[in-house]
Amino acid sequence: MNAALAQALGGVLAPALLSATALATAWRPEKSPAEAPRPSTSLWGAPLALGLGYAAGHLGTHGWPSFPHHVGIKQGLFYVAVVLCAWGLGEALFPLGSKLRLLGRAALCAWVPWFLLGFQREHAWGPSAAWLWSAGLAAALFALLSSQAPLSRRTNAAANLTAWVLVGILASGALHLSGSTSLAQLTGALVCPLGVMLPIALRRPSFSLERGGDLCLVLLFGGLLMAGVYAGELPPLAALALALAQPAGWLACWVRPGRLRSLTVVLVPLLLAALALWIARDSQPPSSPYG
Amino acid sequence: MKRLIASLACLSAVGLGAGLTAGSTPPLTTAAEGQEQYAVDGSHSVVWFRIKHLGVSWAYGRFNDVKGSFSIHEDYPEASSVEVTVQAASVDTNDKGRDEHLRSPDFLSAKEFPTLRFESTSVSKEGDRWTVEGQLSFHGVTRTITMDAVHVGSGPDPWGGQRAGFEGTFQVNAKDYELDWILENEGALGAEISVTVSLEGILQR
Repeated sequence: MNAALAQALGGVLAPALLSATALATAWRPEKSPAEAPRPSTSLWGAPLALGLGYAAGHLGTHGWPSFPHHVGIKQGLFYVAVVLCAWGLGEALFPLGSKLRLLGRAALCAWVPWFLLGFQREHAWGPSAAWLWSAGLAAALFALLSSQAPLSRRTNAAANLTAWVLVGILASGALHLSGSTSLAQLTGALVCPLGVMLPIALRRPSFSLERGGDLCLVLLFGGLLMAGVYAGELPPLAALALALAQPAGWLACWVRPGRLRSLTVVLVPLLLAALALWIARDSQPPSSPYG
Repeated sequence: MKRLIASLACLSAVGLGAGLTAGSTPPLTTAAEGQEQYAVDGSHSVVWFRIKHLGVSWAYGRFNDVKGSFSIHEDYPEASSVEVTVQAASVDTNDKGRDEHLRSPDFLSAKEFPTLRFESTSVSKEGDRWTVEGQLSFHGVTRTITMDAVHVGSGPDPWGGQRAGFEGTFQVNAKDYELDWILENEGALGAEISVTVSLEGILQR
């Protein structure tokens, strides 16, 4: 089979199909307007779609990762996706009290950078720097994660999801431009399930990523950016712009509710992601005189 | 004290006996005596590799930062050994963009796995051919490889030192070292990578 076709099938079609299947399984018929609103899919649909979709994209483009020992951060991200998917399902199916839930999420935010960046502790950071960086990254992930659900509630879930899709696509482009095709593919694998969710969110405003979906999305996206910066050559400034793109949607809360607010939720993150792409493009090594 | 004197007397007797026995066979150095220890001279050593490009030609590259040591024993080749460490970031294919790509997580992931290391586990010699078996570690994977090597030469250098040179070749498969990009883009690059290690060592006195 042609390599490009195999990549497209494994990296795009497989994650899209699997996440669509997960969402279809979680589908709930819409109630009449008189009845109390409820999410259009079971809450476990989003974490399952994101986790399965990403894992399928990884398998489709990189094959099975070695186990128990994993080779590098890309394979590490596969296991992160599996853990996040399981945790997200747990959050959706067995709701915990808010304090316990926050505690669990904080623990995951600390674990992801610790798990993925072992090589930095080994080769680059001293013991104090390792603690400082790990704590800083964990705090940043927790802040990003905590900003998601309220932003989605105060603005518009579909607009929020559209912004995620666009930021994801541009993040994939930035990773590609900074020299890593495989990290760009993996980011694409994360965008696929979001693309499948988008039509649902557009038709049913009650669609929600809360209870697990946001956890999978934010931590996997954060993990991919960490991989880009620490293992690849994604400029830290570009990663920062991408990380801040989604929370920048909060600016929309100053705009009057309505179309303009929804547009702001999409455009502000898009601008920041475009800035990241520009920074990444600018940092590219000079092209070869040998072609 | 008496016990100590008795022990020394026993040891001397054993030593004398051993000496007599040795005297009856051709004089050979012991494995430890004849060992010559060399430090790799990085500026005269290189690790080359070649990989098939589009199935039509060989693309060559090299690692410029090579360190290590080797010891040789002409009488007991099996007592010889070699260890070489190469900095992944020193990869050089005469194309800056391609070098960046080779350092990226698509290939060597040089930030995650900064070194490529070979350490011999057994050495044998037949005629002029040396066979070196050892552990090659890179990209987070360690595997046993067998390298065929030749002794290029030995001799004095103009600065009063003594030098020796070896060249060895071996093959690695992209699949064995989980070099995904090569496997995913089948046809663009061949899965077999041929590696040549050329070492010049300075005798350590």
